[in-house]
Amino acid sequence: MKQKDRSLSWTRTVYLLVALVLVSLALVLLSQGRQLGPVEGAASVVFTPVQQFVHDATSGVGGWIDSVRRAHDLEEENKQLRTALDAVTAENATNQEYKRENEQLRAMLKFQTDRPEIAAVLANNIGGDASGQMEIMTIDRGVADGIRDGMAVISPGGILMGTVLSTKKDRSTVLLITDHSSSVAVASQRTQSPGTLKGMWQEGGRLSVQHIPRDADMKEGDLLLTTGTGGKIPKGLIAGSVSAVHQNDVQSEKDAEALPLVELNTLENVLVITSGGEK
Amino acid sequence: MASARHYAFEKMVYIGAVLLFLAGLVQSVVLPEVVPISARPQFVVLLVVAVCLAESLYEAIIWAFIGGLMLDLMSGPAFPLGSNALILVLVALLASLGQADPFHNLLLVPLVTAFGATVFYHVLLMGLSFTLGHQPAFLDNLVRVALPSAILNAILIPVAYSAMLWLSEKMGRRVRVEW
Repeated sequence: MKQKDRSLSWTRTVYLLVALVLVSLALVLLSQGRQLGPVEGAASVVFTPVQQFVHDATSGVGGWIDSVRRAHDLEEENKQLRTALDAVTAENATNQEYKRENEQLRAMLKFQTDRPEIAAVLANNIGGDASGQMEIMTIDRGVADGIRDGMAVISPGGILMGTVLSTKKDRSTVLLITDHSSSVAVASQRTQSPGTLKGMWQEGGRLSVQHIPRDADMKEGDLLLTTGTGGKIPKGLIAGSVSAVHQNDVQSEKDAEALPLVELNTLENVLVITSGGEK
Repeated sequence: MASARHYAFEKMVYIGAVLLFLAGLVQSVVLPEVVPISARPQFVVLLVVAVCLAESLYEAIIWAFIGGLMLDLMSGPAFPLGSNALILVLVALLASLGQADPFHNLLLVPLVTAFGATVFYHVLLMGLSFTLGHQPAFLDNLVRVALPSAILNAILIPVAYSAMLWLSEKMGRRVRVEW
């Protein structure tokens, strides 16, 4: 009798396993074919506000932890900012939050005034990659807001953060420039020396500039601007700054290390460039 | 008797849905914000492994499917809906090896199961990512993401497993305690 029960239970488990594998596969195929828009849209109505709330509640903690992590690199800068920090810590948490939001919106306004040819959609950062394998950001705007794959995503101040990797009706995934599959054509602002900006996050770094001609003049501190060649990334966006240049006698090209100019994961608002990127 | 067992089973599923929702939220929103490095625990995988060891493969499959859907709905559209559900159901199947009678009472089994299941989860995710046309950094992801998160999950599994045993007893699903 006990043996029979066990056999029944095992059969039931196998049926459930097969059924859920098939349902999952069907969902994957339907979702790939963009057939589940209404279902995902309805779920997003529930999940997005919760994610937004939790993201806002934890962003202060994230910023604090990030400051600790980068403390060594920023030691010099921190000394200069110590006085300012003292003043900032005296403010209460709510005021800091409003201040940060206000600064981002003002930077955004300035960017849109400076680059009137660019049309952009404001989006909220509502999360990252659950698996930790990719440097991606989830934003709460999608196809319904005119967002398409490949569009450039910038900080409110106009600094390149990444490109839209995939998009659904009302949310999108942004591939940050630090992800290893990100590749952006850039040039030094000072000398126009070209290179390709590649993400190095998975390799333990931040950014690298590859394919720099051997005789090109590029040095530490140079700002890297997008060249606008290929894709939908406009020309002239700041993408990072050179932190070290490497060259040896054998290689026909040289490469450099670079750093992003904003903390890509912790921004609350971003702009998705929906038109004007072709120029 | 049968209806009491069914009621306890239903209660476990509802509690599981809440726990998995919270785990998914932490996984997709809090950890990327708060932990700036890639070595993060995989709480949803942890819960699936814990329920598989404390309850049965049947429950684990249900938790895996629900947890996967939660992750899919909370993540951006980088992966289609159902991806994590599919992967986690297969992870539950692997984790059920830890239930095999010859190993069941060994202290080491939950640790090894959590470690193996987490690595398996990451490998399957990379495989799916590659199938979908992305370019996952296989070796780097394995070394910098999968192994550290597997170690973290192995460290956390005693807590998750004990909690699951406790929950299971509270729900009247089991009387045996052997951790």
